[in-house]
Amino acid sequence: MRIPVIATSLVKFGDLWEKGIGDLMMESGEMALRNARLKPGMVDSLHIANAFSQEMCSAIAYEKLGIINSVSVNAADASGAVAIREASNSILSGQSNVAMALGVEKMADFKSNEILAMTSKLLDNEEFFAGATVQSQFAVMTKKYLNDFGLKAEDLWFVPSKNHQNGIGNEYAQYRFELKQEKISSSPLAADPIRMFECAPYCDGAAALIMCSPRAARKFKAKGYLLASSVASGSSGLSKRKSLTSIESTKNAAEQAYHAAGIGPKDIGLAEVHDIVPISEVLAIEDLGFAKKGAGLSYIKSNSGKINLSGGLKACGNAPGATGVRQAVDVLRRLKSSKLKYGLAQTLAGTGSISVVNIFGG
Amino acid sequence: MESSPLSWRLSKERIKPASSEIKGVIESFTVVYNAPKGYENHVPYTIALVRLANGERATSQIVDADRVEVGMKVEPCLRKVYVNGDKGLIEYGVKFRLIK
Repeated sequence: MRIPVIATSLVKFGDLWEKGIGDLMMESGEMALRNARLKPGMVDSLHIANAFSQEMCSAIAYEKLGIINSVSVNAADASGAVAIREASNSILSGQSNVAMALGVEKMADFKSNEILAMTSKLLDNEEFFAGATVQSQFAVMTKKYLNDFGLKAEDLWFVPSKNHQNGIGNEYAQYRFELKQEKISSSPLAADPIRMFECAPYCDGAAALIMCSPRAARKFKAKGYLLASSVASGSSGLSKRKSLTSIESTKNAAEQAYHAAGIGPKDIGLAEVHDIVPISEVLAIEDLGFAKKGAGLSYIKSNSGKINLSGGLKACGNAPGATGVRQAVDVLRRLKSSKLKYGLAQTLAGTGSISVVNIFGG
Repeated sequence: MESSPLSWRLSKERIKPASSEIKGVIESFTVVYNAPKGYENHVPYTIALVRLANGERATSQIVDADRVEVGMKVEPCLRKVYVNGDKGLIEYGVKFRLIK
């Protein structure tokens, strides 16, 4: 498949106290419509991704954007990435000529322990009941990974530090400053061995992209192409997984996406991956086929100009509903401004109960 | 049917020690300092992935342990998990403790 993307929009992520969820939808949606010179009535289907902050997003989209045909998509942190897939499916089925994927989230209004309780529901019931969090389950995986591959906890601090360095140049990122590894070492533990400054912060944000059918593409200017969009499920709990040092759903989604796009990991010029904690970026690199098991960190170190150039979830902030669309917009814009041919975005829900891999071409 | 008080009295004899089938070994663990709503009072608490003797795995809190390490042997026990709602209903559940 080769679906033209005809507009992209991003709202700067952050604690956006002055904006409501409708404001964010309107800002990102209208920006995308203007970008493609479209009227709301010309959008055949709108796929709104939101994970935690709003019921009935469709009604708000109708009020704020005037788009009639819309559906909500909820796949936790992967919502935005799934919305892109749903929009592309709508085009592939012939139901839509023009489809918009819009991701939106408001997290800043919640207290941090409330967010931990909300996100821990993404885990297996057994884990939720034990008082686990997404971060704590990644900590269990981290400990196993460090043990298996002879690394120390501080070795992983390179990952958030590198992402902050990348984020400095991104005007849409929430935290545009350097994060030295010493600073991480002085932050309190969230779930041993993961420290607070290794965890991506939850925030507000919105992003949108509009795609059209290849038939309608003559009328628009393509900003890039969606070449593959794969979603795969896995166990939500660690107890039922074969391996603690690999995310099976990412492996499966990547395999399907590479197959659909007719390319392999070596062809990918840049990637946005789900760095909610350092280990999730390392595992993504390995499970996406960029590096062998155990070699993810050294790959990241020698390819820091390729992975999470936006600053990732760590520097951009994680607005779960919007993150998947934000990653896609970032990949598309970077492909456009470079000579690179292919870019990839990988997003997780929870600790890997869902993985989405979207591949884009410039 | 037995009355509740009778059940309670009889239960002391009915509770059998954990069978060796569900004893296990700690495969990996973490200590949680940043807890979700409802669990703040337990901080810091240990959550472990336990490999049971029957081959299955369980995720649970490890209690009554000053120091936890990968490979330590554990057995299940019944413990308070949290207090639910304003009426103070106590929820009990299975946690694991070290085998001395």
